Amino acid sequence: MEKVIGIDLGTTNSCVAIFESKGPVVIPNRGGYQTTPSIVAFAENGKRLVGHIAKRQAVTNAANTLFGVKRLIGRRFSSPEVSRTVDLAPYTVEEGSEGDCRLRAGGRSFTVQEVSAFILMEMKKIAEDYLGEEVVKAVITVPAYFNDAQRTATKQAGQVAGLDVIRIINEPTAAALAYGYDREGARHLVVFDLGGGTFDVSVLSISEDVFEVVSTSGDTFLGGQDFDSRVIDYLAESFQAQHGINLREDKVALQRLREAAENAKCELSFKRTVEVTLPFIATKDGQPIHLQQSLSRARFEELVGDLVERCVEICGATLENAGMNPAEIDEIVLVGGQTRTPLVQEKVEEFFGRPLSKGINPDEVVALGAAVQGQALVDENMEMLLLDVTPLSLGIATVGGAVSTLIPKNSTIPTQKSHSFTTVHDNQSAVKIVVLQGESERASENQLLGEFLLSGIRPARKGVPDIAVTFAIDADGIVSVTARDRDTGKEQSITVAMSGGLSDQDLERMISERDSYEIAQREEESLQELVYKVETLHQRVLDLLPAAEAMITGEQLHEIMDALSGAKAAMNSRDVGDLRACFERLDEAAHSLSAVEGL
Amino acid sequence: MSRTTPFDPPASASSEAEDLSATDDEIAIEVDDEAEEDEEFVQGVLTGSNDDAIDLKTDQRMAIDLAFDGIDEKSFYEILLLPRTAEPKSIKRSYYRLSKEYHPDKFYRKNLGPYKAKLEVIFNKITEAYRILSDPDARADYDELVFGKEEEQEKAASVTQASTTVTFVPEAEKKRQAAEAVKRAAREEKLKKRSRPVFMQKFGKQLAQRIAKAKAAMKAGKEAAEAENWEEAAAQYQRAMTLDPRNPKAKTAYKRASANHRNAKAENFYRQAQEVMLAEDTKRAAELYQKAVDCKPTKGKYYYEFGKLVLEHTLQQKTALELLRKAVEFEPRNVDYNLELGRVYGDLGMTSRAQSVYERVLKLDKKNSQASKALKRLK
Repeated sequence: MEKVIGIDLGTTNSCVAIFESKGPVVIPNRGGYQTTPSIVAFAENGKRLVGHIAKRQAVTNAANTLFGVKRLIGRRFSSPEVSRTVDLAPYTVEEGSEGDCRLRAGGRSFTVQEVSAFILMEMKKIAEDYLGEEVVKAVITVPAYFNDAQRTATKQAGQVAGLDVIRIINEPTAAALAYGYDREGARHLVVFDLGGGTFDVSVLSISEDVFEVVSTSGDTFLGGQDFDSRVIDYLAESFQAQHGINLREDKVALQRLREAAENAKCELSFKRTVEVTLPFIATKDGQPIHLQQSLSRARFEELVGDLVERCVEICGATLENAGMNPAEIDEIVLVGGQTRTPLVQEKVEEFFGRPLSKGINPDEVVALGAAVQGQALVDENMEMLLLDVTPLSLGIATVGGAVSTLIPKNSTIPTQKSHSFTTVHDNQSAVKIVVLQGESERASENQLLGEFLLSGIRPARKGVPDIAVTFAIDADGIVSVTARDRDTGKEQSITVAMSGGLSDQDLERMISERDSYEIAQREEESLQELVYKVETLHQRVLDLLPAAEAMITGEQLHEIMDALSGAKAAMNSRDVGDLRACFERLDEAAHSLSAVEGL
Repeated sequence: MSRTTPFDPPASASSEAEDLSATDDEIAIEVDDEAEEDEEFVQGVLTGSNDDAIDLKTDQRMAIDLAFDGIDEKSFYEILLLPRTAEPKSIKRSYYRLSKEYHPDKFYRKNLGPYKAKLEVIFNKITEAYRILSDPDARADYDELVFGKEEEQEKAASVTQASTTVTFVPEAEKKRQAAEAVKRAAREEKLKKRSRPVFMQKFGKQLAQRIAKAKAAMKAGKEAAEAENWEEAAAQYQRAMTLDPRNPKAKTAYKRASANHRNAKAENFYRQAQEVMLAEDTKRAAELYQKAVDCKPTKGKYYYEFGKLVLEHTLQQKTALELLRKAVEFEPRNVDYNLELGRVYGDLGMTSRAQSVYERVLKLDKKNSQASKALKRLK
């Protein structure tokens, strides 16, 4: 059976897991950490850095350090969510040719898919180092409330990373799988998932190895980073009041502030009060000034209280959608680092009136669940079945800017629905369908999923053609559209094209760039090895020389000195051909020297 | 009317489709008509033929065909294999069990040929049935519609209403709708004429066929079991199990038969091993013992004989030790196995282990002279 890894591609941290004989386990990275920061940076020498190494240099290289890109994936540059990120980010976000977001770093522009792919490649490598074999198949998690564009973009990121994404699975659902896959008994479970960037809540009904998601909801722009922002604002504003300097305008200062705010928030989970100290944060009249501010838990709770309230509100609405009341819930699972905040736990407990389930690390549970789902797909002996739902209603725009819902939210996937379309002009050869995702009755207030063009309609009088269009949502939550001319019954007679998003050419370009990057990476590694070998040999010849010097001819000595200086030059120029030649000359020299010495 | 017609050809439409608010005037009209859609879809699916490249076993194909055939004619209760009086709990249980059989994930990345579309239809249908029947209001409406009293007028009214609410209906669609209305009326007439017992008969007939097949398989299984042909018995019980997954008897019988089959196979290997030992073909005997152990990894006897063979005919004392340990692990009260294990421990110089093994033997059999002698020697 082929191995499948589960990857939790998080806003702030990512985690990879695999199903072993005893169950799912998290694979630690080379540094021994269970999770890896979702950060990609480009060093001055153009080198790409991912994970902890990228995080460590974030302060000194803020403009070329990309983080939190999950908040941008699958979003249009013009959307309000993107502008909010752009305002806070120390790196540059630009508009791409398709209205998508592009990130500028290391003197280049990247699609969000590419940057996500860099993180996925790192996770893939972590798994491969651990398993000692190549891994291709993966299950990647996304927030339950992700729409079609965000899911598609995530899947594309997987493709760019060289992964065969066998399933996109919702994060809260994955958490439920990790909690329940090996336990018996029927029960109702709520997953409250407050991660770095997104909030999701799902209600599940579990029995006989079937995990049925009853309802799901969330906010793709509510998470730990918003908690951080509140702390950043608080610290920056009190600093401004004190010194008249706005730290948020200085990229380096903002980055330091961001780190300090995150640390303070984390510490307040177990401390009553913290001291935030940032020496030399700014200068005024040529004098350095320091930031020194204490933050109490009560004050922090005041700053973020409305965010927590909003989570609990969404939680209540989701339960209502499921037709349940809090008392019917048997188990509450908290997922995501932000749920460590005592206020969050307190409010959730208060809402449900029962203690929370603890046991699995909230940072790892999602990746573990993804590994469980991966195994369930490839292992026929696994009884488990997941019945997930689509989080958003799928509809089409109709006359007057209204929406006609085709597939309501919380419908079990995979699912499909057919509708009839016709023409309004004689001999009209194409029809456009505007597909939307969202809950608003107004077309303009929903997410535009795509404009599908039905073309190749055979010539006929208006109103005569009868085209059956099937809208399907697959198990990944991704929408596809197929059309069929009902009169001729030909599936191929109508073509469906979707606008927006990445084109196949874009995708191919990114994949081929990844290939060439990997080749370059391998070349770089073998070059480094060669340099190292030449360096070692160079040193060895130097060591041998004094003792043997008296016993060799002047010509030989000249030859050896020549080889040594040649090697020095080759190590500087890093030319593969020169290095190889020098290696041989040095090797010969070392041999003759040790032979002489042996006499 | 200043507004342009509902949809312009895209050549002109695309330029004005800059944002959603501009899409008002270029919308295609949909006509909601699910039943017809599905029926046509089903027709298309039915034309699919058998294909040997399909990764499905015969019984899997049968199960899919059985669920799929005439699915549009079935009531939601028939689809979920439930009586009309079913409790919410059993509706859920039935849906979960059927999902485990028919969810496309259960056939992940298999070549399904025409069965792929069939599975999609089945899963769609059972999900719809579950959604309606698990919602008390929707279920009541459904019951009234399908099984309720005469409501001809009300229904005719709802048909006309449906067509007036649609702003624009294609010619072909109008014709089709009219035909459909006639068809639907006829179908509802038919449904209404059926009294409940008839409905139950039809429901029973579908199921009875399946159950009859399952019963035949159970019988064949039993006969095979009586003749101690465990392989055949296991195969038959498995068939019965697939045909009638809600029969716990088939499952236990299958488990028993396949266990017996394995035991018989293991015992057979063991006997063969002993025979070839008589011919002093130790290599072949070792292979056969290995097979016996693989077949039934919980039987001490196989490990014991295998271990003794390794001990006497090879220099691999460690392997022999492992095997004898296994023998004692599964049958700790067997004196012979323990004595042999003790001897090997002694030979390998693992005195304290040997001692505790011999002490165990003395606990089992106080007067065992071999053990007491060995103990004395060790001390």
